Amino acid sequence: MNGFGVEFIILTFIASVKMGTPLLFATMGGVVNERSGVVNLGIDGLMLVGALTAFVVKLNYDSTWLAVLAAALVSAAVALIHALVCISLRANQIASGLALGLFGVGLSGLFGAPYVGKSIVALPDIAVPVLSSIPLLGRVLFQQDGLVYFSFFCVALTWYLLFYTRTGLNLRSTGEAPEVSNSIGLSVTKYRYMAVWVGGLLIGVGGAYFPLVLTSFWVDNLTAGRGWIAVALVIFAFWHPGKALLGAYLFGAALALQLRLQLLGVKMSPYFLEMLPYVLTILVLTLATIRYNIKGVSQMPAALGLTFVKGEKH
Amino acid sequence: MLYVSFEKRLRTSFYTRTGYNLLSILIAVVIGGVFLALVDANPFSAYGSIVSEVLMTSYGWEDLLTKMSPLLLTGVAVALAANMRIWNIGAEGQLYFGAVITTWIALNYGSTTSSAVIIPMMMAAAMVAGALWAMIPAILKAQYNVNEIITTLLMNYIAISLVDYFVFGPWRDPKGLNFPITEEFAASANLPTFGDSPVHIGILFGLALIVIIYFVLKKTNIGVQITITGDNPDAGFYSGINIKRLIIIILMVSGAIAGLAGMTEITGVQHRLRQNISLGYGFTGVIIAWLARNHPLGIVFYTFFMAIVFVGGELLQINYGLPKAMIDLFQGMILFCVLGLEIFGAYKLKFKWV
Amino acid sequence: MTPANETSIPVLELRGISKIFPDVIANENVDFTLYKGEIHTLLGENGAGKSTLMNVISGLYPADAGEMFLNGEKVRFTDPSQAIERGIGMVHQHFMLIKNMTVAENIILGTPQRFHLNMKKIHAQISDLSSKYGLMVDPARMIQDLTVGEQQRVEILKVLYRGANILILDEPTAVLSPQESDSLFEIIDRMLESGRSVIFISHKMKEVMAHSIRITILGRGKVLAVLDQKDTSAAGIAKIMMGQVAGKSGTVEPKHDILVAKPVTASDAPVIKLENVCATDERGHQVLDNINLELKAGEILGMAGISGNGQTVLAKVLGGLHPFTSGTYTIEGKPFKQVSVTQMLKMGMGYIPEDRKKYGIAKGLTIGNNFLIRDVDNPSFYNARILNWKSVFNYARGKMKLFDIRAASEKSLVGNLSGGNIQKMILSREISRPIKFLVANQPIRGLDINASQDIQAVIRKAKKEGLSVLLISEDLDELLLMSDRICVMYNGRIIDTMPTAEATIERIGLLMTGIRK
Repeated sequence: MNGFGVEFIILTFIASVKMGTPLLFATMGGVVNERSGVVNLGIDGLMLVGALTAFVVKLNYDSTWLAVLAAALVSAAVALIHALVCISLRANQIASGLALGLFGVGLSGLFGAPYVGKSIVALPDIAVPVLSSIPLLGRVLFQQDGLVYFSFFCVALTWYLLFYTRTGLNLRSTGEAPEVSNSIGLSVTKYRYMAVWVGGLLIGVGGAYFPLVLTSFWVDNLTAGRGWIAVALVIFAFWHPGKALLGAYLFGAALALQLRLQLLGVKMSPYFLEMLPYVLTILVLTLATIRYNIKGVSQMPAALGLTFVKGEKH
Repeated sequence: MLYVSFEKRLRTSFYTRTGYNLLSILIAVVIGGVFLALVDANPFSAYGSIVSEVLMTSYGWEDLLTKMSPLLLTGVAVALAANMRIWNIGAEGQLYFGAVITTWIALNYGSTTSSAVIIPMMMAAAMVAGALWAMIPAILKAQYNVNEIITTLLMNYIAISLVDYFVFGPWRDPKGLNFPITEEFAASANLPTFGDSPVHIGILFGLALIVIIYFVLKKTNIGVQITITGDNPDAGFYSGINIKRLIIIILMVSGAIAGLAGMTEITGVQHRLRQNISLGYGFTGVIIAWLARNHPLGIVFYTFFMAIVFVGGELLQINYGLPKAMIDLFQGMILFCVLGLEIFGAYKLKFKWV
Repeated sequence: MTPANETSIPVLELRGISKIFPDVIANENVDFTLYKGEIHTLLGENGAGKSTLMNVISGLYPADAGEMFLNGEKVRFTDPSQAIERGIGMVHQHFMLIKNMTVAENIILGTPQRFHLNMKKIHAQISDLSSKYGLMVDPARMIQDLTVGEQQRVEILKVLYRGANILILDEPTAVLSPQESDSLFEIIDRMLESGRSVIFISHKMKEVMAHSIRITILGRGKVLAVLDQKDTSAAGIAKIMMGQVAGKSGTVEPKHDILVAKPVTASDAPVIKLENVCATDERGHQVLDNINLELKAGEILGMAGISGNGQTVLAKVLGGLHPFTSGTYTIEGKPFKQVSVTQMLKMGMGYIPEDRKKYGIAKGLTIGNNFLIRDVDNPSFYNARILNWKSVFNYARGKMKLFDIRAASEKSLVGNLSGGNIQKMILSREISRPIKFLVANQPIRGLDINASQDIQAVIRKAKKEGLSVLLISEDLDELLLMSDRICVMYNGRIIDTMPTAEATIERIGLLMTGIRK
C-alpha cells in the first residue's frame, strides 16, 4: 500500500492543524496568564470545563457560536477562582493550579455524567475562497473548520494586544517587574486578574474544540491530559503567541502521526505511540531549558510564579 | 469607600493555622453539599449516609484503612520531596510503574515462590521501579534545572500508557473475557491481611515509612543537609552541600515510596494489573502533603480524612449514581479552600472607611 | 565645562532641610543650591545622608523641616510623580529596568500614551532624543542584550523623555569602564549645554576634580563644606571628608570575660598565599586582576575599598564559593588550582559572607539548627551517626551565652533575630570550629556599636591565638584599629599594601579612589 505518498503527508498536516488547534488556544491562554506573572497549571481542567459547556450548549441550542462563547465565559469564570486564590489571597500559584485542574476535571465529570454517550454534529470544514486553491498549503490551512480560522485571528489579536498596545505593555510589566509597575502607579492586581480571565477565555475555546470538531461526543476526561502538554508548550513557545503557533502544530503533528501510523498498520503498539507526545514534550522542555541556561538570558517573565505584595520584599 | 487590606499578625501559631485548615475543610464540605444538591442528591442524606455507613460500620472502617494504605505512601513521598521545595507530581506514574514491575514478578514467579520470598522481592522491586521512574526528572532537574513539576507529571501519562500496553497486550488474561486485565495473581503473591478482614498490611508500610523518613530527616546527617538546603539553597551551597546529589536522591526516594504504593494496591486490593489501579492517589498525595505541612502526624491525620473522601465518594457513586469525578471535585475544592484561607493564619483583615 | 551663572536665581535651592527617621537624623539643616547649567557634586561617605537628601528632592518623601525652591518657587513633594512633573529626574545607581523588554518599552512605560502604540513613531522620538544628547542606543534592542553603559543611557533617556531639567546621577560611573565613563561625561556636557543642571554623586576623586563646578560635602547628615572646584584639591577634600570620621571609636575592651591567650608571634610561613589569581564574573568580565597576597598566622590583614571593586569576589574565591581562572591558591604550603567549599571547610577555613542573610542563615530554622550550617559533619553532634539534638542545642546555648547572642532561646527561629545577633551567630559558628584562617567580609556593617565591639573583640582574641584574618571593611576606623597590615582594592587589583603604622585615613581614602601618591 502506497502509504507514504504526498496524499498521506497532506492528510497528516491537515490532521496536525486540527489536533494542534485546541493546544494553540490553550497555549495562548497560558501565555497571556504567564505574561502577567501568574502560573496556571490548571489548563487541562479549564479545557474540560469549556469542552462540556460547548457540548451541552451545542446539543441543546444547536448554535456553534453560542457554544463557543459559553465555553469561553464559563471557563474564564472558573479561572477566576484561581485568580482570587493566588492574587488576592496570595496562595501558592502552583498548588492553586493543581487544585484548579482537579476541580475542572471534577466539575466537568460531575455535570457531564448525563451527557455521556450523546453526540452532536461536528463542525464542517469551510473552504476559504482563493486561498484554499493554493497547492498543498491551501488544503492544510484554508480548508478547515471555522474555529481554526478563529485561532489564526486569536493569534494575531493576542500578538497585537501584547506587543503593540499600552495595555499589553503594562500587563507584561506586571509579569516582569511588578515592583516597577507598582511604583509607577499601575495596579498589578487589576492586570493579573485581567490576564487570568482572558487566558480562561482562550483556554475555554480550546476545550470547546474537542467536542465541536474532534470527537462529536462527550465522555469523561475528554481532553485526555492534553492540557498538560499546553502547560509545557507555553515554555516551549517562550511565552510568545507566534511561537505558540509553531509549537501547537508541531505537537499536533505528533498526535496526528500517532493515529495515522496506526492506520497504516505500522508495527508499533498504539500505546507506545500514545507515549510519544509526552516523551517529545519532556525532550523539548529540556532543550528549551538548556538553551536558556547557556544563553543566560530569559524570555520568561521574570516575576512568574512569585506572589506580589505591595511594600513587602519577597 | 471601604478599603480592605491585610495586616501581618504578630505571631502565627500552629493552632491558628490548623484551625484555618479545619475551617476550610468545613467550608469545602458545605460547598460540596451545594454541588450535590445541584445534581439532585440531597446533601444531608448523602453526608448522613457517609457518616452512618462509613464511619459507623466495621466494613466502612475496613475500607478506610485499606484506602489509607496508598495515600499514606503517596503523602509521605510528596512530603519528603517538599522538604527541598521539590514538587513530585509524578507519584501517580511512579505508582503505576511500581505496579508494572510487581506484576511481572507476580506473574512469573507467583506460583513457584513462597510469600516470604516473593513479597519482599516485589516490595524491593517496586521501590526500585518507582525510583527509576523518578530518575529522569530528577537528573534533568539536578543537572539542567528543568522544571520537575512538568516532567514528573508527563511521566504519569507515559506510565499509564505503559500499563495499557501490558494489559491490552502481552499480559492480557486469556480467560478474562477480553477485558484489559491480567490474570489473577497466585495466592502467595498477595499481601497478607489482618485476620479475616480484607484490610491488607500495606497500611503498615505507610506508617513505617513515615517513621523512617521523618527519622532520617530529623536525626541524620543527610536529613540536616536536606533541611538546610530546603530552607535556603544558598546556605546549603555555603555549607559545601552537594545540592545536585541531594536533588537526585530525594526525588528517587520519593519515587520509590510511590512505587511501593503501586505494589500494595495490586497485591493487596486488586490482585491483578489493570487500568485505573489508582484513583488519582498520586495527586491526593500532594494535597495531603500540603495540608500536613511536613508534620508526620499531620500526614496520618489528613490521609485519614482524604480516605473518607474517597470511600464516601465511592459510596455516593453507588447510592446516588454519581460519577467518580465527584471525588476529584471534592479534592479540588478542599485544596482551593485550604489555599484560600491559609493567608488568615498569618494575616488579619483590616477594614478602613475612607 | 559651562561655568555656573551665580548671579541668577538657582534652579534648585534647599534651605535648612532636615529629615529625621526613628533611629537616625539623616539630614540636619542642609542648605544646597544648584544653578542652571551646573554640575554640582555631592560627596560623603556611606551614611552621610546623600541618599536621603536625594530622596527628598526627587519626591520619595517630604522633608520634616526646611524649604525647597524650584526656580524661586516654593515646592514640597509627597510623591515622586510630582517631582517628575516639575522636571526632576533621578537616575539610580541600581537600574530599574525591565530586562525582558526593549529600550523603547522601558522608556515609555508609565508615560501617557495612546492605547495603540505606534512603535515606529516612538522609536523615532527616542532616536531623536538620543542623538540630541549623544546617548546612542537602539530603541528596539532588549535591555538584557545591552552593556551596562548602554543600560545607563536608557535610564538617562527615561528621565529626559519625561522632560527632566534637573538630573540627579547617583554614582553613575560605579558600574562603568573608563571609556564608558568618558562617554558619560560627554553626554553630561551636552545636557548642560542645553540648559539642564546635574547633581552628581560620586566617590571617585579623579572625576570629581575633573568635572565638578562646585562640590558639597555631607557628613553625618550635615553640610561640612561647599567648595568651588577651582579652589580645592583631592587631598583637601579627602581631609574634610575623613576628618570627621576619625574619633568614632577608641580602643575597645572585650566586653565579657574571655581568657586572653598568650600572644603568638606571627610565624614566617604564610598560611594563605594567592599568586596572580584572576577571576571573572558570570558574564565573563574580569573581576580579579592578578591578585597577589600573603597572610601569616596570627595576623589580621585589613582590606579597604569601595564596594564593587572585587573584594567580595576575592572573599568568595578564598572561601571556595567562586572559581578562579588562573593563578595559584596555596594553603599551608599546598598549592591549588581550584578549590571547593567542602575542601575549604576541611582545610580549616572560616568565612563570614557579606550578604549574611543570603548565605549565612536558614531563616525558617532554629538557632540550634543554624549552628549546623557549615558544621553538618561535626562528629560531636552525633551518637553513632544519629544526630543528638540535645547536644546541638546545648552547644547553641553555650555559644549564645558566650557571644551574647540575644534571643528567646536556642530554639527561636533565626528569621526573628536582629542583624547584630545574626552576625554574632555566624561569627561564633565560624570561630568555634577549629579554623586556621578567617575571611570576614563587612563583619560590622549595619550593626550597632555594642554588637560591633563584641565582634571585633572576638576576632582580636582569636587572632591572638594564631588565627589569620582577612578583614574586609568599609569602616576605615575598624581597619586601622584591628589590622596589622592594610591593603586597598581598586578595580580588581590590590593597588597598595602597607603596615598599619604607615597608614592614615587620608592615604587609604585616596587609594580607594584610585589615586596612588
